[in-house]
Amino acid sequence: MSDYAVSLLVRIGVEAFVALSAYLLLVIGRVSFGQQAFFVIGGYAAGIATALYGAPLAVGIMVGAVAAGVAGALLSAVMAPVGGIYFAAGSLAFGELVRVALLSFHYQVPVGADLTGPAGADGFRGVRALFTGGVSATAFMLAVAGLVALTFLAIALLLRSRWGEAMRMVGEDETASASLGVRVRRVAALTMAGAGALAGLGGGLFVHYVTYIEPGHSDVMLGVHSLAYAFIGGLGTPLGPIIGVALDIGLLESFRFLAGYRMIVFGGLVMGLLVVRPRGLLDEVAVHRLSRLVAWGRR
Amino acid sequence: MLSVEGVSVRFAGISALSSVSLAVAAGERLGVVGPNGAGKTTLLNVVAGLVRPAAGAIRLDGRPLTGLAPDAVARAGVARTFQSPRLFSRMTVEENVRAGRSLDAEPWLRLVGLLPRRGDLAAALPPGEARRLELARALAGAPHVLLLDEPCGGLSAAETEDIAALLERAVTPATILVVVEHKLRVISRFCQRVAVLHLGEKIFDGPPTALRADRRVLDAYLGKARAS
Repeated sequence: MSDYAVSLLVRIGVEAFVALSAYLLLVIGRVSFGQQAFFVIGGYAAGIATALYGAPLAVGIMVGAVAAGVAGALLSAVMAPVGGIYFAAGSLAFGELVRVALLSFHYQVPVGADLTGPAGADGFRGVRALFTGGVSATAFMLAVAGLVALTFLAIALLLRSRWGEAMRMVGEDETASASLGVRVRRVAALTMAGAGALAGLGGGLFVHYVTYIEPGHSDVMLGVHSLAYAFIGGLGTPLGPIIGVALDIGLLESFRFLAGYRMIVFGGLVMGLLVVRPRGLLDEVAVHRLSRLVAWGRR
Repeated sequence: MLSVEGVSVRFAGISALSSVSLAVAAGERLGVVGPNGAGKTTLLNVVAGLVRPAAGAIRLDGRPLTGLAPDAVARAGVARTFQSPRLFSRMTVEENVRAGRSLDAEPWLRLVGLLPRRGDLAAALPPGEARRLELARALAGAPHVLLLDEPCGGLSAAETEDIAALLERAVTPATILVVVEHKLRVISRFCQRVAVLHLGEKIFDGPPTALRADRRVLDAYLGKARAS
């Protein structure tokens, strides 16, 4: 497999985590423009763990996910009761807050002959645990793909559980959910923490693949794309956001003749889909029909 | 015993309920009627924890419900339906009855005649079936108090009969039932007592048979001149 294909697949995998993170929040009816903040928090934390403190790669990536999950939990203390446009605006503000805070975040320690660590606007370079550990790019790509598959399965199982039912109920009607005994705030808070951890996992994987991360990676466009991925692929299944990422990065970016027009095509695709299929290609009705078809086929 | 003690609710300076008191014993079925804007739904909302009263208290078997969040009120054993059914349209009929709780939906679906539709999305149900599904969802938690907000609203005579028959079958003798309903025939059929609200005040509380002879009720519904 060519280096370009490997790099493309890693990028699809990494962004799939941010898309799944935005998707989880959409399930509980929250539109977030701030998941990129958890992505960079995860990236910085994972980088600090491996590059500064010598943690093994897997541990570093887990540290990134946990740090972003904790950030999600802290944010939920303020934002869990908030919904609608206020949540969207608050999440956008949080994303910008993190980006601006990282511009002045300096935490460098000597590692060998160099100073390593976050250096404000210059970002955080020299996160080389992937390469010093002797992991090939192809092996890393396969590991990322495996993690995406596991995450998809975990979310699919979660959404079929009692807890998942409660999440979907909250996403449709908080008043009716509460009247049935669902602790809406708790569901929202835990989902925000989980969504943060997922985006942070993506950030941890990303920083080790490209060896650096900077405040600019917390740009709002990553958050906007993550939402768009879910809306393109569909909200009826966690496969939807993954399909959305693959469609955008895999299909549009890999066609060279679209270079320069990609964002126009992507934007048009999102707009068109929002009109004809407001909840994406694989919306709840489509997934329900497909699952019935599968059940009928098994008989 | 469900006790509503001197409850007042105000919305932006407008009084929706004025010092309303009611007590409904275990197994008792209370109908609540009144013209539009009388405060009937507000009364259910305040019991269910969706609206906080400006004054007064609500107790269930002596335990205070006032100020509890709606989910805590629900866990205390209070279930409700809404004026317009609030189903989870993107979830299946079975999931709507289960509603995130550890219970078997099948007996409740059988009770309301929706077992064959258990796998359908709730969005696909016509209004009559949507009402029955919402009722099954409320009944499934085996509530101590059941608050029904116009369970027959917008239904045909045949569908109303279905719901009324269903309620007679499904509501256990120990359940406290409070039904807001415009159709007096439905109220008379299974409520021993009826309370009439008018402009946020309780103007009548007694047996349904005495309702039509009460001067204040006639004035509220027909206007003073016509009533006389």
